[in-house]
Formats: sequence, structure tokens, C-alpha cells
Amino acid sequence: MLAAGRRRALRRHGWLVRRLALGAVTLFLVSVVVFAATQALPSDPAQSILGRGAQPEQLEALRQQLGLDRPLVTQYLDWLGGALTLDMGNSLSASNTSVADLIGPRLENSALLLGITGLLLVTVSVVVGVLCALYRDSPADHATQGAALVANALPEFVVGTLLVIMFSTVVLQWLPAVSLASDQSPLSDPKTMVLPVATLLIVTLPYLMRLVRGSMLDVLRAHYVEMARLKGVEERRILWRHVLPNALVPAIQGSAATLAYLAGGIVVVETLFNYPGLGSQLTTSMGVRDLPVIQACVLLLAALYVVLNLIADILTVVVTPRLRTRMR
Amino acid sequence: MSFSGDPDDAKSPLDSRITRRTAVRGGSAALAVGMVAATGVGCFGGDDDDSAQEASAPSGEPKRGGELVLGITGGTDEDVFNPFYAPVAIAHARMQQVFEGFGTLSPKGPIELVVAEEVEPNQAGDEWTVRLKDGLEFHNGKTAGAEDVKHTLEFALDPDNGAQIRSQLLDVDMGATKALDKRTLRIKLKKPNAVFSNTLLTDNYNNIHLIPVGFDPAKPVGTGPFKLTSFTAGREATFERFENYWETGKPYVDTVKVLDFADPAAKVNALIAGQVLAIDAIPEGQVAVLEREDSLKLLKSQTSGLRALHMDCTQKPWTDVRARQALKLALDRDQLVAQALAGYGEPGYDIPGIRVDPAYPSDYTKPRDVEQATSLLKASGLGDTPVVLTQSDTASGLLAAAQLIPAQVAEAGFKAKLNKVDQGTMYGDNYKKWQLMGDWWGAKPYLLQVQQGLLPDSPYNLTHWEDDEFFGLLDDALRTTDPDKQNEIVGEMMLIESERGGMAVWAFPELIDGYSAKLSGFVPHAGGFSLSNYSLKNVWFV
Amino acid sequence: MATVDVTRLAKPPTLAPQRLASLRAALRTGRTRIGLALTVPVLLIVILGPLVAPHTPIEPVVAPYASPSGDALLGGDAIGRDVLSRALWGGWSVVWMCFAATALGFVVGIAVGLIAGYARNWVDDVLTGAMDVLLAFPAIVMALLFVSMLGPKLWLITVIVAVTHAPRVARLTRGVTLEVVHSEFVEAAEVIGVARWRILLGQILPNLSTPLLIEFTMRLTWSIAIIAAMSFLGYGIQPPDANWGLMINENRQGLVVQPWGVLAPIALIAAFAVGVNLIGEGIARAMGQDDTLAYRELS
Repeated sequence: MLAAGRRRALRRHGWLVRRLALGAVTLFLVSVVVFAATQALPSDPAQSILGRGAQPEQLEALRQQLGLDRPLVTQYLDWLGGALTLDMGNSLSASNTSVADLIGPRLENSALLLGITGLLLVTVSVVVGVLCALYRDSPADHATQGAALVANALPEFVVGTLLVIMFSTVVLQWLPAVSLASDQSPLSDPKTMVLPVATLLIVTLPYLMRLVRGSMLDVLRAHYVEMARLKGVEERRILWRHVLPNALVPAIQGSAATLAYLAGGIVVVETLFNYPGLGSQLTTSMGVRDLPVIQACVLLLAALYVVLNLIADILTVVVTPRLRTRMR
Repeated sequence: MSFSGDPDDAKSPLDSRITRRTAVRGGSAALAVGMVAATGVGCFGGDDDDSAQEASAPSGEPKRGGELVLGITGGTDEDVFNPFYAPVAIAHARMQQVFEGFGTLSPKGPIELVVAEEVEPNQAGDEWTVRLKDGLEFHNGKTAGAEDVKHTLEFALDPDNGAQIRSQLLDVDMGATKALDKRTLRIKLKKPNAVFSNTLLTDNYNNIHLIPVGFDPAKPVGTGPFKLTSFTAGREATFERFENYWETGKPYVDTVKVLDFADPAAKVNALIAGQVLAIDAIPEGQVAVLEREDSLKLLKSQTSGLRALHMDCTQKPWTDVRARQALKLALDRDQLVAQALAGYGEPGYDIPGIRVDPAYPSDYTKPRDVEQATSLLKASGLGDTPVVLTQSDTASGLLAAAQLIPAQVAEAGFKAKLNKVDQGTMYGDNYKKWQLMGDWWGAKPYLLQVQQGLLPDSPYNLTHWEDDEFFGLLDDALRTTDPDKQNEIVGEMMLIESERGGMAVWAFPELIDGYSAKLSGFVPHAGGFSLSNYSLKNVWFV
Repeated sequence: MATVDVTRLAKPPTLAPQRLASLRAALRTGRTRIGLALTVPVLLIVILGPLVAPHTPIEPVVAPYASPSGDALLGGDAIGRDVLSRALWGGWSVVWMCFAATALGFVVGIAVGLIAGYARNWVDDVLTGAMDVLLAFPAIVMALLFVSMLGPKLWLITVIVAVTHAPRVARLTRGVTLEVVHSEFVEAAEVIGVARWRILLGQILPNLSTPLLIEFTMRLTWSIAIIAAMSFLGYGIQPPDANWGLMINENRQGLVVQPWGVLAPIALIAAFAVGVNLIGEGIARAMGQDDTLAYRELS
């Protein structure tokens, strides 16, 4: 008979494998959906690429070259293979540029945005959440909770536009609303990142902060903490050794989940601030029907979302201590 | 989001489908044999006249020196510096520094000569003589001569070079074309063409740029005021003064840098912040922002580019000329200029070619007449046909106007509504088949407009209009080399098209650019291209 | 056959009287009150706005980006139409789409959750798996993909948003269903032969009503966010009709000169979203469930 610990480990192992499999299946399904959706279009990619003046022979030649005359499944597999090797053809609007070249810097920029936001998000929400829990019902706590209630409900672009109005155009003019030259890295002008990051933070902080606070409160009330107190362990030690590690568990999972949410959320924010990332690339490509780029952006963003959610789920299980006081 | 001014800054990132279309719009077009437009001027001669450019009395004496940084919307990647393929405004801006054509549109409108001293046809119209200016030098030190002119034409005719103007040069008989002396070339045409000058002189986006024998696209060399020093596709290009430029004393500034911007608002911010010193095509909503800044100036150009509705005459109700007339009479052009262009522009009355074409009837108007429109529509019996105005946000004012037009024409009894689409759909498979759509045109002489928009194989035949009298006159015009006679015929054609045609020109927009008060020398340009057609040789730092 | 001592079985208390009491309690909380104070005026504007608007939403009355004046109390928009009138007209499509999408998502989610929770067999596994897969797609990205392919059809957007709600509602419903299904009363009822659907309606649904009500307000807030964002990007009701999300985008360029074109729709969207959210928070607090709100899923 396996020891309880090993049994649990094996269960987790099995779960992990299943979860990874689910992730892979999801990615596969996403790719199918993306491909199928773009096939739903009635127009002819060859016509789009060659333009109006194309002769029928040219169109036919290009169609063959693009593989449009082959069965759909073959086309899908080719496309998928291309995607996996980062060769996704050429953009329809910037026809000398490969999709990969176009999207590469954009991906970096979005990653930068997400990274900075994520770092700030986690630190601020943990600090504020813990403090609010410790000083529960203080005026500061009430004020923070109130602000969180409001911020939580606001749509992203509302927050973004309000920030622009406040800090960039009407009220004050400290920060630029938009000011990057094409392909210029945001790092060359960090001021341009302030408002996008602020917008994303305002939208996601309330959730995570409340999560931390709620979790802290639960743990503070838990039996084993009571026991420790009764045993005479000093409060600070209780806090750092017992309370925080357990309380932060849901926060870790929540952070990963929030980042996953942001993978979709950056679309609107990037478009609003014209930040040169994947999200704004998606919306501009949609405006000109640049199919290969649209496919690539959607695929990447969806994959990012799936992967981050996967990490969140795994972290949940990995980090779960034996005595969790919170159901999920 | 709408953008004003130069249509090619309309949407970012620029769709090179659009811009290819633009390229053809700007000039070259498939030609029916012998049917080329005349500007009404058969030959050109005389000196290049600079006085027209002094329109807004630039301040003080020109000083030499400085680096001029421009911000222009655009950013499609161009691998090669191709003087015959510049489909986007920003590419055109770059070309303008390094290359020059035989002629160009002058700031006031009419065509003027640049590197050519004379361009003259023979009586029959099948031989055209081009004489270059004396002392014209290329950046590599070579003196420009007839062999370079010949090479330029050969380069453009080579299908591998992707020259947009090639289709307009197909009638050139290169074998029979020969130099008469060091700087004169006699071009022989296979067929007479009374208005070959249009091809040689007008197409701004696809100007025939003079290149030397042995031209290497990787190391581009021209006769322009600046030499290319570096070029990063999609990002920036830098140029430095060409010391032996034919206009002595110019250019004034030492270097020019052209930066790509994806977003017009970013451009405006960069100008305010001083990152760039001049920008093109400011959206109307941003004009107020710039007006507040003392350190900045606005350059407003009343252009000859136009905005128009196009009716497909093969689809009801436009099959009946009365319905077409009803639409034109029902339009409230003043409202469209006031609301869709925010007042930056002047109303058009269904005739293109203002300021550029001498035959344009300057006092002509077409006041709104709803009553007449209603009765015409009723007489046609097609008033119940649903009308769908298909529109994308392509150029300033188009989508805004499309939101106002259905209500305007409803007053005459039309049942119209707007169908907003994205650019990809607009210029996709259904382009040239939309029942009613709004589009823009660049400035050009009238007959060039006809050739690009009204002939069966025109690249932009959106209206499919047929009219025996009109096309009969067209034949006459093309056979006439007498400029006055030609103008007369063209004038008649203009009136007929306004009466019966399928294109309703409703405005000539104003183009607004912005630049730092540190600069002087920009003049308004009617050609529809920003910053004085990107002619930076006249600009200096005060 | 095992005998079941029916007398020992207590009827699980239906929450009906308790529910009403809680709702009344909710109305007394500050949150719900503020929430209603925000939401009700917005709904009134949406419904009555067109009746009191001084102009039609498509006629130009002043110069583009004109400052507020007698003709246009909130100034002109990008084409010179009356911002106030457009704000009064522009909420209808956004609001009905939000309600419709949320309601549709709930109908589907509840149905799926009930079936999955009750079936407890392979049907449950399949449905849960399907819901998990749906959850794996990022909502706005997929929505953009579909509208870029099929066009900005309003029904399409509504359906996509509904689909993003369904899985979470299904999860919630399934959870409650599972709990109730295992109770002695239900088991006994099954043994006796009471029809399943009657059990469902009689026992499970009442237990669901409170958490679902709270969930509805939260989901509605999310609907508002995504539908307004889609309108902002141009995928909502089309020009020249008025539409809050689109107004914000249309008038952004003139923000410096004329902020009302943007402020008016933003204020309305924000008031609606925050108001709905607060109502939900108030109900949760009254039901003693506001701590669990912290553990709700983010979207």
C-alpha cells in the first residue's frame, strides 16, 4: 500500500498529465478555430495579394503557390507546421515583410508591457492586500475597498480614456498619450509606457488585492493560527511563518490567472494608446483584412492565454499546502 | 478615426493594395492606344520659374545649415529605393529628396518644368523632343545628358523594375529614339500622342525620375538636392546636401531625416515635443492642438485633390441619367465641406481639375436644388430602388460625408443608407462594382483623369459611364495639338460630364501640415502633397 | 427494498421567504443604494432618452468639435452632431446587447450545469470538458477574430459574449446541483419516483437563485466591458447611428478641444457598469457572501 504522501503525489502527477494534455488539446482547437474562421471568408487571398490588375494565369499560379488548391486539411497542416516553425508567410499589406518579422517586435513589446504590469500588479496587490487585512476596518481599508469596488467595474478603455483625459490632454499634460515612431522600442521612451501600464493595473489590482485580503483574513481566523497564538508564539512570527505563506497561495494562482486575462485585455489598451504590441497589430490588421497577420496575432494571444492559465492551474496544485482553509 | 489631407496617410499601417492603387491614381495608367489626356498645353519651354513658390513670403534671408527632421505617416517596409515605385506618401517624400523628374505640378497648380528645359512635340504628335538643362549633375559627378534620358526610359520600360508608369510608355519606340545632341533626346512614338507630355511631366507619385546610365537601386543616385546617406526600411531615411545641385545656393539645410510614424496623433505629439520639426497631413481634430502652440506653424494648402461619389451607371437607379442628376442636385456640398471636412476645403461641383487644368470653368457652380432633384427622380421612376452607399475610412472626410449624405439625398426621395466597411473589403473584389461609393482622387489634368477613370480599361473605372457625345469629343481632343482648341474641347467635355456623368465631385479638401517656427520656406501646394510636395530644398532655419 | 422512513426526512427549507428578506436587506446597504442610484438613471436615459433628445442623432447642428452652446448643450461631435442627443440615443444598443448576452449565457449555462450536475455520469464529464475548453479561449480575442471574418453583426457579438458567460455559470450551477442532488431528500424523492424535472425545479433552482443573482450582476458588468470595447473598436452598431462605445472612438481626436464628446458616453458607461457591480456587491453582502466574491473568477 502506498503511503498517503506518495498516493497524493501520484494523483497530482496524473492530474498534471491530464492538465497538460488539456492544454495541448486546447491549443490545437484554437488553431483549428483560427484556421476555420479565416476560411469562412469569401474573398480570394490570391486576389488580395496581387491586386486588381492580376491576370487569371497569375492568380492561378499564386493560388498553387499558396497551396489554395489543395484540400483543406492539407492546407491546415501546412499552416500549422508553418506556425510552429515561425514561418507564417508574408503580410498582405506590407508585402515585402514576413509575418514573423512584422510580429516579432510586437510580441516583444507586448511581453514587456505584460511583464512590467505583472510585476507591479503582484507586488502592489500583495502589499496592499496584506495591509488592508491587518488593518481591517480602518478608514484606509474602507477607502481602499471602496476604490476597488469602483475600479473593478470599469471597462478598460474607460479607465484608459479617463487617464488620457486626466494626465495627457485636458486636465494636465504630463504624459504623452501616443508618441512612438514605427518600430521604435517603448524602452527608448519609457514615459509612453506609464499610461498603458497604469490602465492595466487599475483594472486588475482590485481583484487581486481583494483576493489577498480575503485570503489573509481567512487564514488569520484559522485554527492553526489560533493554536499558535495560544501557544504563545509571537505575532510577527505567526505572520511571517504561518499566515503569509498560506494566505498568498490563492494570490499566486490569482496572479497567473490575472495575467492570462491581461493577454486578452491588452488588445484594447494597446489600441487606445497605440502601443506597438500584438493587440494593436491585431486591430490594425483587422482594419485592412490582412489575414495572415490576423491569424498569427490571434493564435499567439490565445496561446499566451492558454499557457498562462495552465501555469495558474499548476501553481495552484503545486503550492497547495496540506491545510488549506479555502475551497475553490 | 478620420485623417485629413494627403489621402495616402489615410490609414495606418498603409495597405499597399491601396497604395498601389494610389500609385496608379497618381499617374500611370493603362492606356488605350492614342487616347491620352491633354493638359491643353502641347509643349513646354522656358525657364523654371521660381516665383510661384514665393507665395507666402518666407521670412528673412535664407541661411545655410541645420538638420531637418520630418515625421510622416507610413511605415510599410521598402527593401529597395525604387525611383519608379513610390506608392506611399512617405516613399514619395524620400524620392523627392534624391530624384527629380522632367516636370512636376507647381504649387499654384499648373505643370512646370524641372530638369527639362524644353519638352516639345512635332506637328504629328509622334515625336517628342526633351532637352535637359545645362550643367545638370548627378550625385556621382556625372553630367546629365541625352543618354541618361534614354536610360531612364529603358529602365522604366523594363518589366523587372516594377515601374508603375511603364504602361504609359509602351508606345515609345526605343530603337528609333535617338540623341540629337549632348542633352537633347528625340523620343519616337509608335503612334501619335498629342499629350505624351502628361506622361513625361505629371504623375507625382510616379514621376519619371531622371537616373544615370548604370543606375544601381542599391546605391541610388539622382539629380535631386540631397544625397541618400542611409535608409532603414520602415523606420527612417537620412539625406545630406548635394553640393553641386543645379540650383546654386540650394538646398539650405545640411541634412534631412525622414521618420516613419504609424499614427497621426503620435506625429503631432512628436512635433510638439520637438522630436521632429515638420509633419504632414494633420487630422482636423488635432489642428486646434497645434494652434495653441506658439512654437509651431500651420501650412494650409488648398489642393486640387478631390472627394467624390461614384455611381455605377450599370446598376439601377443610376442607369437613368435623371437619377444621376437628381443625386447631384440633392447633395448639400456646403454642409459636407463644413461638417465632413470641418471647413477645410472648398465645395466641388462635379468637375475635377481645378487649378491644374486651364480649361476648368472657374465660375461654375451647381447650387443645391431639392425640388428639381425630386422631380427628376420621380420622372425616372426609379426612386424606390434602395441605394446603398458603401464607404470605408480611406481619406479625410469620406466616412464623415457618407454619414451625412443619405439624409441629404433622402430629401429628394432617395432611399439611401450607409454601409460602412473596412478598407480591405472596399478595395477588394467588389471594388468597381459598388452601386454607390465615395472615393478620392489626386490632382491631375482633366484628360488624365478621364483616361484613368472613364475608359473601358481604365484602372479606376468606377462609374462605367457611356456617352457617345462625350467620348466623341475625347477623340477630337486627343487629335488636337493646338492648345487653345484643346482647351475648348476639354471645357465642353467637363460640362457634359458634370451634367450626365456618374461622378459627383463634392469637395476639394484643404491639406494641413505643421512645422516648427524655426523653419521657413514652406509654401502651400495645390498638388495635394504635403509640405510643399516634400520639396525641402527651399526650406531653411531662421 | 429498503424502507425509507419518510417522517425523518425534513424538507429542505426553500429559500423563498429568506431570499426576499435578503433582497430587502440588500436594498438597505449603502452599496446597493449607490448602485441603484447609478444604474436607474442610466436605464432611464437609455429608455427615455430618444424621447427627450433635442435633435436626432444624425443631423449636424453645429461645427465639428464645437464648444457647448444653445444649439448643442454638450457641444458638437467630430461631424458637428449634437453630443447630448447622441448620448441620449446611443445607449440602447449597448444596453440591450449586454442584457441579452448575459441572459443568453445564463440560460445556456444553467441548462448545462443542471444536466451535468444531475447526470453525474459521462454526460457530466463531457459537458464539463466542453465548458473547460470554452473557458480556455480568451474572450475578446476570439470575438475579434469572428467579427473580422463574419462582419460586425450584432447577433454574432451577443452570442460570443453569451458563450463566454456560459461556462462559468454552468460551473456554478453544477456545483450547487451536485450539493443538492446528494441530499437525502432528493434521493428519497427519486426513490419514490418523483419526476426529475420536478425535483430540479422544486429543490435545486431555489438554492441557485441567490448565487446566480449575484453572478448575474457580475457577469453583466463583464458584458458591458466587452461589448462597449467592441463598439469602441468599431464592432457594434454602425455609423451613422449613435453608439456610446463608438462615440468615444469617433470623438477621441478632438479631445483637447471638445472633451464632452468623449466624457458623456464614458460617464454613462462607467455609471452603468459601476452601478450594476455595486448592486451585486450589495446583495452579496446582504446574503453574507461578500467574502466569497473575492474568490470569484476574474472574468
